[in-house]
Amino acid sequence: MSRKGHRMPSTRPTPRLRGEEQIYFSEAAAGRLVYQRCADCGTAQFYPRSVCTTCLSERLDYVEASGRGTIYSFTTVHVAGNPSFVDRVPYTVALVTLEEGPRVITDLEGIEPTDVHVGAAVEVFFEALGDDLGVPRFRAVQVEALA
Amino acid sequence: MSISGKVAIVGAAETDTFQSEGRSPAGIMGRAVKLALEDAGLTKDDVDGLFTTSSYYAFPALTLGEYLGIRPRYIDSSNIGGGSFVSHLAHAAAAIEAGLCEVAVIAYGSTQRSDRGKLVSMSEWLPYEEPYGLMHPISSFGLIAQRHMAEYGTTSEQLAAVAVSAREWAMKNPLAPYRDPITVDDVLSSRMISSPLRKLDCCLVTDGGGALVVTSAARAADLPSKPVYLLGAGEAMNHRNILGMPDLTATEAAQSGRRAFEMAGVGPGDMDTVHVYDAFTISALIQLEDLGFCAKGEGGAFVAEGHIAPGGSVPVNTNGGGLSYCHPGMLSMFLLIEAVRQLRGECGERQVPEAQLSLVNGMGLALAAHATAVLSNRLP
Repeated sequence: MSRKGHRMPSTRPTPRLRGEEQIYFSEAAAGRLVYQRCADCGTAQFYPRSVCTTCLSERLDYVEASGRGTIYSFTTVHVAGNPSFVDRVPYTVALVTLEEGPRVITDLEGIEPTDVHVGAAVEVFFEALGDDLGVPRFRAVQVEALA
Repeated sequence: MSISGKVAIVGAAETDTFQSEGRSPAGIMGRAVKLALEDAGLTKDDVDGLFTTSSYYAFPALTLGEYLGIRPRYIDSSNIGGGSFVSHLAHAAAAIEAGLCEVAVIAYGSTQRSDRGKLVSMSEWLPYEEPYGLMHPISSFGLIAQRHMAEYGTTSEQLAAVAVSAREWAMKNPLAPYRDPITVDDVLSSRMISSPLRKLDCCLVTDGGGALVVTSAARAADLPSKPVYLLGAGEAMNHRNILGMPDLTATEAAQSGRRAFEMAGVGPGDMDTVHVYDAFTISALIQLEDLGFCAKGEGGAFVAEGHIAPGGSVPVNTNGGGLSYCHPGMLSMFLLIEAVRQLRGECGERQVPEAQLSLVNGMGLALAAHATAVLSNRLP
């Protein structure tokens, strides 16, 4: 799977990031999709936090996910939620359950809205967001990746 | 110690419920408070507890107190989204029972329609959602609806039945802005916004405001209006953003509802009228499931069979609800006011005969927080 491909310039809204909020996006710039795992109780969590949602431990490790997951739910957006998405409508936003358990949100690339379904297999790719950040996004699992 | 039966709503009023008559959000609140106090037979000087929240004002209780010249000794602008006013009612009951105030006003005002229908919000974005183009708030409900369809086979036709029922109620409400009947086909042929939700799956965008006056049950006995007692209340939450909602088909209304029913000593089958937060067809359907009016996953069949429409077994949102009466952004004020009117017997053509018990469920954000109240016109 080509994890670092597809690095077109992004016109997406860039969130204002503080503290631990930067890590997801800076890791994405390096081609890694990360979540946290608690070193004390093993909880896997997304999004990154300063403490564990199960035991409040601060011993949280960033773990690279496989990048594979399945669609938990989706919605095809016909009225853009942001001016920078006006040219993309209709586009599909999905909640994706990663193989490792955490759930992330993404818009989908390269899938016709009529072909999207709950349970479909998807994989991550990365898009640049400015010079130092990246955005993980998902697309249908490529045929070669299944082989 | 319980707040059950300790306080009553003694004044209720709404104003500018479709198009504001030249009032600001604070101006709408101010008029609603005036009308509610008149309804209660009380004056501004009686008010010593102030409860409000807003999408317009960062410090809403301070804005309202200054605007009205009220100097409260108890102040609460808790914000859990559009369901906040049900939460305020429970908080007011606790404050009154504890002696921290005696006459509480709960108020709300919005000019969302006059603001050209744009969603007015001071909400921050979750950084992990912001880059992906969600249309707030409907895309979150689209995700919820799609998952409910995948798990339970719920259909767009069934969701449409919620909108059709709401319109049938609105046709009995002389204040409702749209009183022509709609059909399931009308809903299905309306514009897709964020699948599977179409325009007529969405609430109206209106102006509007309202106010409630709450005091002790003992003092209510000396006032002119028919008291509406708070018999049970409960709150619950489990997320803030859609990314954090653990199960998109099940909400914490199950917990807030259970807490309210247990405090009141009643159950869903005892309710004469039901007022749930119908920002979208799917939000009403899931709340009806989680509050126990039908089994989980059976909400689609339940609404399609006509149970929530006029003449059905569970009268839901008898003023037309957010879908067909009034939705200025934070709906729960209007859910509470309609329950009060039903329990006072003031509802004219849409009156549920001899209504004695009503359930109100306020939802915040995308089914994130819930505040439930059981109201009655008599003490047990």
